[in-house]
This record gives sequence, C-alpha cells and structure tokens, in this order.
Amino acid sequence: MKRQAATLMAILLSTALTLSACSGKNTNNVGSTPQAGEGTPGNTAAAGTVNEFGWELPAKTTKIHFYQADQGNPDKINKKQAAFHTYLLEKFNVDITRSSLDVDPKEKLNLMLVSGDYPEVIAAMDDSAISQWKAQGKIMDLAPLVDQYGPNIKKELGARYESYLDEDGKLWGIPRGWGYLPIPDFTAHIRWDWYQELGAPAIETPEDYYNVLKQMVAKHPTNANGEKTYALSWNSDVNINNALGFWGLKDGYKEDADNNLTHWLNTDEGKQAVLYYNRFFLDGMMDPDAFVNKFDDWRIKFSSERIAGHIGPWWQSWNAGHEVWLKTDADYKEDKRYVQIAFKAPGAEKAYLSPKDTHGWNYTVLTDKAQSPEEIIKFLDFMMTPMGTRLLGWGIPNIEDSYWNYEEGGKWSFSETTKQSLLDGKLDFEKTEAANGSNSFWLAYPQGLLSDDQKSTAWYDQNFIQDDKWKKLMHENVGDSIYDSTERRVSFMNDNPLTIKNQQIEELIKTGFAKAVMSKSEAEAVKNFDELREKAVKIGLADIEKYRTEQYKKNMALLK
Amino acid sequence: MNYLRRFSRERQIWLLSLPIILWVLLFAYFPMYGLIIAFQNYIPGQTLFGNWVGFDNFIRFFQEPDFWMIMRNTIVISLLNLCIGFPAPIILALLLNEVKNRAFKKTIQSLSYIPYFISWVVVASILFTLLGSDGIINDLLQRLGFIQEPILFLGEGKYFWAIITSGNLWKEIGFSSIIYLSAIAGIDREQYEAGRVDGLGRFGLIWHITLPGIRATIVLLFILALGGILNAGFEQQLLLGSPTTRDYHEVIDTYVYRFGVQLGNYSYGTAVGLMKSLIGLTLVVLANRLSKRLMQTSIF
Repeated sequence: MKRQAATLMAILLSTALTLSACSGKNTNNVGSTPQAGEGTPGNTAAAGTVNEFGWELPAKTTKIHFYQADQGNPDKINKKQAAFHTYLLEKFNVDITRSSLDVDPKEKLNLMLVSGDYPEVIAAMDDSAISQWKAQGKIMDLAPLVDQYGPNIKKELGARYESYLDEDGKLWGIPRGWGYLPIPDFTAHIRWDWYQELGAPAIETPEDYYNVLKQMVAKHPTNANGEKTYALSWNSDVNINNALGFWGLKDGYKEDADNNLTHWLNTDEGKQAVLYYNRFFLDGMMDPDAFVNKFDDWRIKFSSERIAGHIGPWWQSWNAGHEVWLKTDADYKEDKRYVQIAFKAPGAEKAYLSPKDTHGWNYTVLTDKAQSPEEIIKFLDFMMTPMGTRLLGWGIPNIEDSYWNYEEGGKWSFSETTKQSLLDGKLDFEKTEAANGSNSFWLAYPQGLLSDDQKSTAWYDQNFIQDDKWKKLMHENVGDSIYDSTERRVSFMNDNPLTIKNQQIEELIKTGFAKAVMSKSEAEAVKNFDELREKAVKIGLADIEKYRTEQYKKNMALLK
Repeated sequence: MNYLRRFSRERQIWLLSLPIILWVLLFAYFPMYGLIIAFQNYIPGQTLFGNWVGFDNFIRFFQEPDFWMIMRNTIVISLLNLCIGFPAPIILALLLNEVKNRAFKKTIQSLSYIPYFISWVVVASILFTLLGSDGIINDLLQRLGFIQEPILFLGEGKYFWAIITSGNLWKEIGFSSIIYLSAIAGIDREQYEAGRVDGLGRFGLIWHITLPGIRATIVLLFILALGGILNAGFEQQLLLGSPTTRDYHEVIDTYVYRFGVQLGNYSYGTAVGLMKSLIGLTLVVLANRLSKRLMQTSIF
C-alpha cells in the first residue's frame, strides 16, 4: 500500500512538473499586448473639444497598439515611447504604443500570419509582405477610409497618391518616410586636420583622393599607441553599390540612352572601381580586416585615429570620430574631425552617391482585426499634416528636453537651448528622446520637407544644415551627388522566381567584391573580378538586369 | 500475451515513465506532421494541404550553384570534428584518470568544462582578439620577427576550417570527457590489480583494461555522432565567417537559413532539413548494424 502511494505521488509530481514546463505565458506576444500605459483611461471628459493642435478629441479613446516590423530592443523602445504615450493619451485621447522585437521582422510577420496572432496595426511592412498579407485577406483596403477620413493624407501625398494604389484602385498601406529630403546619405570622408596639414590639395577624382590619403598615412603612419594607420577601412555595413557611385553608376547600374540598365559587373566602370580599391590593399593602405570588421570593431579602430579616410554613410565618421573625441580628448579642437566630400572619376557624368527613393521606406497597414479603422485613419490623417508631423517627429514640446516650442494657433519655434547643444555637438540624444519621444510613432508621415514651409523635416537634427558649419560644408561638398532614385524602385516579391537569383547574386557579390579588393596583385584582382562576373552571369544576372530595366521603364511611365 | 504480462510486471516503471513518453510524443513526434511542407510550396498562413510540388524542393537544392561548395564545407568540417573532436575527449579522460593528485585532477577537470558554458558569441570575440590582424598572435609573431605583415587568419578562407575545428575542440573537449570519465569509474578496480600482477605497465593497463572497459560507450557515442555528420555548425559560421571566407564557411545550415528562412521559403528549408535527417538516420542505422555484427555492441 505504502509502495503504491509512493508510486502514485511520484507520477503526480512528474506529471505536474512536465505540464508546468510545457505551459507558460507567451512573453513575445506583440499581437495584443500594449507595452506602455495599458488600460490608462483617456481624457474622456474633454471628448469633442478641439486641442491646441486642432485635433478633435474622440469620445472614446482611440487605441493604436501597433507592431513595427523593424528589429529593435524592446526595452529601449518602451523607455523612449513612455512619456510621449502619456502625452498623447492626455492631450489627444489616443492610446498609442509601439512594439518591436529583437528578432528578424520577416520571420515575425510570417509567424503572425501562421498563428493568427497579430495586432490591429502593423508598421514598416514592405511590398513583399503586403502582397502576402493581401493575398490572404488579412489587411484592409484603406482607400474608402482615406476617401472619407483622410483628406490630409490625400492632400500631402498629392499626385503621388495614385502610385500607391494597386491595379484595382485599392490602397493597402499608408507610406512611411516618403518625400524628397535632399540630405546626403553616403559620401567619401577625410580626416580634416590631417588634410589641412597637407595644405588641403584639391580632390576632384578618385586618384586625387588616393594620393591625398597616401600622403596623410605617410605623415601619420601610426597612432599615439604605435598602431598602424590605414587610408581606408570598412565594416559589415559597407554598401558596394554606393561605393561605385564615384564612377557615375547609379545604385550599381549604368543606364544607356534607351534607359536600359547594365549591372556594374558588366561595365568597365565596375572593373575600374574594383581595381581602384584593390590598389589601397596592394599598397598596404587598406585595413586588412576591412571585410571582417563588425561595426563596433571598426568604430574602435576609427576612434583610435587609425583611419585617414572613409567611404560610407555620412554619420559614421561623426559617430566614430569627433563625437567620441569630444568626450575623451580634453584638448579637443574642432578641426579634429572628418569632413564629407565627393569626387568623380574622369569620364563620369557625375558622382551618384545618395539615392533618394521618394516613394517611402515601407507602409503602415490595418489588419482585419482593426476594431475602429475610421478612428485610426483619423489619427494617421492628423500625423500627415505638417503640424502633426512636427509633433510626432520632434516629440513633446514645451518641456526642458523639448526640441521645439508650440503655442496655440500653430505658432512654433525650435528650442534654442537644445539647438545650441546640438550645434555644439553636446546633445545627448538618448536622454532627450526618452523625455520627448521624438519619432517613436512613425506611422504615416514623410521624411521629406514639410509642405507648409518647405524647410522643416521630421528628422530634428537635419533642420539646421545652414546653422551648423560642418553640415553646411558637407552639404556644399556632396549636395550634387544626391539623386532621386524613385523610378529605379524595384521589389522582389516572395513568389517571384527571380528573388532567389537576386539574393544569390547579392551574396556572391559580397564575397567576390571582397575577394577582388583583397587580391594580392592587380592581375589576380582582374581574374577574381572576371570570375565573379562569370559566376553571376551563370546564376542569371541577365535576367535581373532585364527585370530591373522593365520595372524602371514601368515606373518612369507611371510617375511621369 | 508475453508483452502484457511483462507490462503488468513493470507497470510501476511504465507509469513513472508515462509523462516523459507523453512529452516525447507531443513535442518530438507530433510536430513532425509539419514535414509535409517539404513537398509543397508552402505559404505562411495558408493551408498545410495544398500546392504540392513533389520533390522539387529537394531537386532545387541539388541544382543550387553553390551546392558542391556547401556540401564540401559541411562534410569537411564535420569530418574534422569527428576525427579530432571525437577521440580528443577520450584521450583527455584517459589522461585525467591517470592523474593521482586528486586536487590537481579536480581543478583540471573543472577548468576543462568551463569553455562548454561560454556562448559562441564570447568565443568569437576571444578568437577575434587572438587572431585578428592586430590580435595577440600576430603581434607575438611580429615581435619575434617571424612575420613582417600580419597573417589574415580570420580574413582568409584557408584558415577557417582549422580555426573552427580548434574552437569546437576547445569548447567541447572537457564536457564530452565527463561521460568517459564516468564509464572509466565503472570499471572494476580488481581488473587493474590483476593486470598489475600480470606485469602490465601504465600504458598496458590503459590499452588492455581501460579502453576495452569503455568500448561500449565509445561505440555508442560514435554511432550517435555519425547521425550528426551533416551538422557542421551554424552560429560558429555566422559569427566567425566574413565575406572573404564564405567559400570555406558556408554550410548546409547557414545556406538554408539565408535562402530558406530569411527569404520565407520554409518549404525549401524543411526539405533540406529532412534530407539531412534522413542521411543522418541512415548512417546511424548502418553504423549500428555494423557495430552489432563486428563488436556485439549496439544502441538498438
């Protein structure tokens, strides 16, 4: 009897343990769990009144708990949005929260589709995901809602609104980050004080850049710790297509008079560019870890004063250069920094370094679970107004860490204290953004210049190019290399057989470009380049060129 | 009837095992129904019973332009792990067993386990510090005058297999030796005394008593290791690999991740995974049969 009781107890215990191990809450549920301010009542007492931003407070709190299909740290996102969430709830009676996860958003979206566990609103969906969700009837056609509740959406998008409709006139997503913002993304960089030491010789061609960097490295062969310096280095963020822009290629393609596109692997310019970068390696001027560095490794090398130049996004040499030295160098002088420059190869029409796709990054969609789509569209419509964009883009006004001040009646100004701090390079973005929540809820508005003044942009720090002498200099140097690339927009959908080919070629190029640049002789670089081209052709490079050309011509006709 | 009688006799053991059996059925066997998507062009959110494509996903893998490179890397890395990584813990266990100073033995044993608990992210960072062009090894070699320019250990593919095998060995050797140490502990001490009486030296004792004593364990683990012959690693390659080493680091799992999971081609990923499992299962069955015939030792 005793033995049987003991056996029974053992079975019960193991069953309970097993079941408890199998159960447990789904902590990753972004489908319905608001991250901040859950259940906080809105300002229902003031329902129907119009606030200082011209927003009529809804009788019932509008809930927008959305998932943004970007990879991000949930804790940081929650910290940043908390204050702004409360502000919008109190002032607008809108309970808006954003969730993102530190996982591949594509996988998360697929998981949502399979499980059926997804929220009412999803932001940052690309064309491929839209087509997948649309085919399964999981997202709403927003055109009728926009017709009725979105006059500002239509007004701000203007003629381009039509380009977002499908062949049946349906609108599956509201664009995010659309519009033309003429600020550079990608540039060449040069260590300014070292450049001045050389008497600032003119840099007009890649050859000039090479020669200047060579002299700089000769003058500063090691840093203060005796570590070797290099002319150039790279990290995993390197964008090969942009690095070829100095040879007149637009996003890696050459265009003929009939608007046919040729991939850089099939051009002389492409080969010249590869051999140019290979020369840096052959002459010991390229960091041997250029294709091994992760961003943080590269940043350490950069801030240790081991790199004289750079070819990459404009902000990288700020982030890894003077923004670090400001904090670490007690005798810091403002010339100790990098300046962004552009040049072009002889024979190239122009340097094309910063493509601008005015169509937008991606879209915000309403799923079939949306309870009050009309109310959500109304708030997206407010976001789309210039003042709505300012509020959502710059965050809470009139507080200590505000970017801007706002008075009833639409009068606004930038906060002078914050602006000065920005211009002095001393603005602590993490702190101010946690206080004002700027750009926490980027659901619908543009990144381009706002329609009411053609000056402001949702990116706070990009509003002072003329006030910041270094940004002004950058703009003067590289402004000419920015170009509108909207017509070259192409989407590779999941069901497109070319998507795999395209991906295979991209992977091949990453490897092949690195191999060619790191070749131990020019002849080997040529051989590696030719091999790379042959392999890409074998996979189907011609099909990709053809498809891109077709899409390009189609877009040109559509956007005419 | 025999089975029923046996079951009735062993009912308490069966009842105790029941939760675990249920767990295995629920979490290891039930999800296998998902394998059918290997024979479909599955689109997330749509039915599991449509869009059949037969063996297309399998054929596609064999036709990939990088197929031979991926298979070569997978098999070479696996074989290196098997040939070096499999005997190494046995040797370590034999050596530790010969250490007479208990405190020293325990210390070495504990130190050898530690790397197993270090994540690959940390291991990768240690390897970058050691082997980077500015790393400790290059610095040492340059100071000693052996080289003028740094060796690109992490930037050239030809070093990758050696680095990943060494990394695996360093991480796994201590932990894997535990099972052999426990098998050695199970050998009857009287056999050693008899051996000494018969004039066996240290190596003689190892060869004639210890190794035969743990033979069943070695065979069992070897058969299981064969099942994972196409598992050449995943995170190691993602963390240590770079565009310049892709020709040497891309293996089946990383390729499937890039072209299957990341592009949303789950059917393709499942097909390759299924193929890997079937090859593994076949190898396990064959090795088990061979071992049964030659050594009278088997796992089933």
